[in-house]
Amino acid sequence: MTTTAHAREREARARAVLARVEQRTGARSLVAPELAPASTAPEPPRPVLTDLERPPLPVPPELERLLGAGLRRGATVAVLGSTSLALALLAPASVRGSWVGVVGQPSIGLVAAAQAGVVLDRVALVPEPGPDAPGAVAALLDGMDMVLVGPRAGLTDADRRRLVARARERGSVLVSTAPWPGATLVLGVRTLGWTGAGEGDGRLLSLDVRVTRSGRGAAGAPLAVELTLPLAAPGRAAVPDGGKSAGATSLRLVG
Amino acid sequence: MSAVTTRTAVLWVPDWPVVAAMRGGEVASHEPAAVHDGRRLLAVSAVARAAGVRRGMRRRTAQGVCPELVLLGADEARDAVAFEVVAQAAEQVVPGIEVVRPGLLLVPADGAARYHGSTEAFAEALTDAVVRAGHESQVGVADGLLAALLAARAHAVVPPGTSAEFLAPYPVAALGHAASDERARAATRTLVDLLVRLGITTLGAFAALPAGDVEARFGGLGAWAHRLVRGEDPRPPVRRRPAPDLEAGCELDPPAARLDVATFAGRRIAEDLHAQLLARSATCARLEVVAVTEHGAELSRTWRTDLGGLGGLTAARITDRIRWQLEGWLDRAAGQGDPERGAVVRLVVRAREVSAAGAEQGRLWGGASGADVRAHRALDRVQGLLGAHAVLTPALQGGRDVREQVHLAPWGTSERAERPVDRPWPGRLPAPAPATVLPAPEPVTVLDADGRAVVVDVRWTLSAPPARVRWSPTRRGEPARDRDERVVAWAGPWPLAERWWAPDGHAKAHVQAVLDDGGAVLLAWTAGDWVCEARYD
Repeated sequence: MTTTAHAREREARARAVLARVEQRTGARSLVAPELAPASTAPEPPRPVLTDLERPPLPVPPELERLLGAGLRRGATVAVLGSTSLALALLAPASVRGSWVGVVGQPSIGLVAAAQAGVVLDRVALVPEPGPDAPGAVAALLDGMDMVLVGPRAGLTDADRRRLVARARERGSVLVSTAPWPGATLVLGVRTLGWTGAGEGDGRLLSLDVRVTRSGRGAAGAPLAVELTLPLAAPGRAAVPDGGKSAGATSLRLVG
Repeated sequence: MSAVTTRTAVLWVPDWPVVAAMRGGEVASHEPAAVHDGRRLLAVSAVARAAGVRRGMRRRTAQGVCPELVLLGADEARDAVAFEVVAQAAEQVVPGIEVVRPGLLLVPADGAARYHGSTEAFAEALTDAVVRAGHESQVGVADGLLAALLAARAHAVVPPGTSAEFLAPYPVAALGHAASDERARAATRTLVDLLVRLGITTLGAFAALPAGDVEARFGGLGAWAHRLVRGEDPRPPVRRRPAPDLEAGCELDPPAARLDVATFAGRRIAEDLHAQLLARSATCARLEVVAVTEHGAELSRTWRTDLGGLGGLTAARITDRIRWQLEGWLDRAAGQGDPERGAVVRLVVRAREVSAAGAEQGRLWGGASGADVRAHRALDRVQGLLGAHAVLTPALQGGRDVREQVHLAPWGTSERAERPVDRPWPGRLPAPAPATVLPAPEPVTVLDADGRAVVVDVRWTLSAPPARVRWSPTRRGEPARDRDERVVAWAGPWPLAERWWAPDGHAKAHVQAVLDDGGAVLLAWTAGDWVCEARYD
């Protein structure tokens, strides 16, 4: 009895060491998390076997109603109508150490990305991939957890199918800001209105949007939520006015 | 003496800060001069000292003693740069020197003295070399650092094993010479003060104390001082032995105007450089590629080699860097017919910051993680596919409008952001920043409620509240009619006049406008026209 327990413990330890080595050398992109003890069973979102091997990428808490616990690895997500929402989708994973590749989106606002919480040190841009767009996206899917594909990446439907398969195989998440036939998940954004600006006074503060989910499989049931963009950057409290008012209070006497 | 000690030579240029400052400030050597840091004098020239000026005096006192005293500002960088001449002169006599501070050099004397025949001959050779570089200096040789320092002040050679006797008559205040920086000097001053109050006034008396008791009473600093005065060196000089930069180059005759010809030559010199690095078992932190054209123009770019994952620095990768760099150069030259550019006549690759392979400094928290290594490899592959300039890495930099706050550099190059972020940048656009920054600003017309064009006047006010924004068709394929959007809310104008004193200065005013379809745009008024710079979406 004890010998089997001992052997099992040794096996678990050996597996953990192997996984660490593989991750460190980049031979493997995903860490198998410690198996959760069975006592936490009542939790409703069921960890499927594939999720244990490939933990989903974190998403902003405001989007959890639409996306569940996270972005399933290998998924293809089209975010239509709002670049801010796409940036907010990238931010939590970026903060946790994932790299983000941006292909064919020369208009991406990098200051906005940084404000959304995307770590620019782990961002690579390919603004104009030209005719080699499929190769560039495929290479980035191999090496990065998230790849954002914009409208300037010239892809045919056959390329798209191949890239979806590639993403599924490599466990990366493909985010498209242009329509993507066959996407696992489509987030359609309808703007409800900006707040903050008046008749020559104030400034833009926040954008109210209605996000509609559609897609294939479990995501097929249509669902909509209303959000206020920009979302709070991960790790920071919600500061709707961008933290500017904090500086205004620290007045000091001069002269 | 059983303790480890090193025969040390010290080369001392008296009053170095003032010597360097007089060179820089064009002060003649017969004028009394001193270096002043705003509080007190740091260094005093010999002429000024003869007039009674002393180090540590306040400015008023010094000018009272010597009214014609020239005061020069303190500048450590200038001192260090100027001293490089002396250091190089000394390096010609003996390889491996340590610059303790500008003005003071440490040299291990054993081997050099044997080479020159005697210690005296070696000291003379050192002094001569420095004189040829244009500076007076004094050399002292002794066992241990402190004895050598004091010997340099006396321009003397202390025979081996007699350092303790040589030091004995000096007052304890001489310990201050061994302190290399201001903090150490202050600590030493406290120690000397304490010793004097305890009645220990000479180094000999201090050296006579038992080592254990000194450590117990005076702590680490006391123990260090005690070892110094007994002529035992706590550490031998740290030799500076900079590895030379390696380079490989070739002349191209006839000049290479085509990429494949130049790359072929590049491949050869890449292999040459790689062989040189292998032969020394070395690696380099930066790779500089320089191409010279027939018109004498020089294109150089430095690539980092510590990125790029596990591939290492192979000849193929060096060739890639050369090819990417030439690609942009030759293509642009061919496309624009630019007379300044043109065929390449000379190609050089230099390995900078060469160090022994395996001795590179890791990151503070260990090496690159698996995810970083994978990403680096992927980026290398994309760069190989699309060329160097297709893959960019962004960084934030200081600035006010949406474009200039972002610095983009090709992946793998070591370009730095131009402007620091941590400055206030008053007038910067307020957060949130626009999520879509148009690659090229679109010209628009802004109309008021009556259909007249809205302008910004010299007082930075709008002629009328904007009511509509009109996009005119600019590109082919768009419907050939104007697209109007009604403005439902707006904010601004925020004037921004940057660098108005310089020729590259520009002025503009930003307006945020919310359109009736729910979107918002950032409009800018520059030079009498409106453009749409970005979209908030």
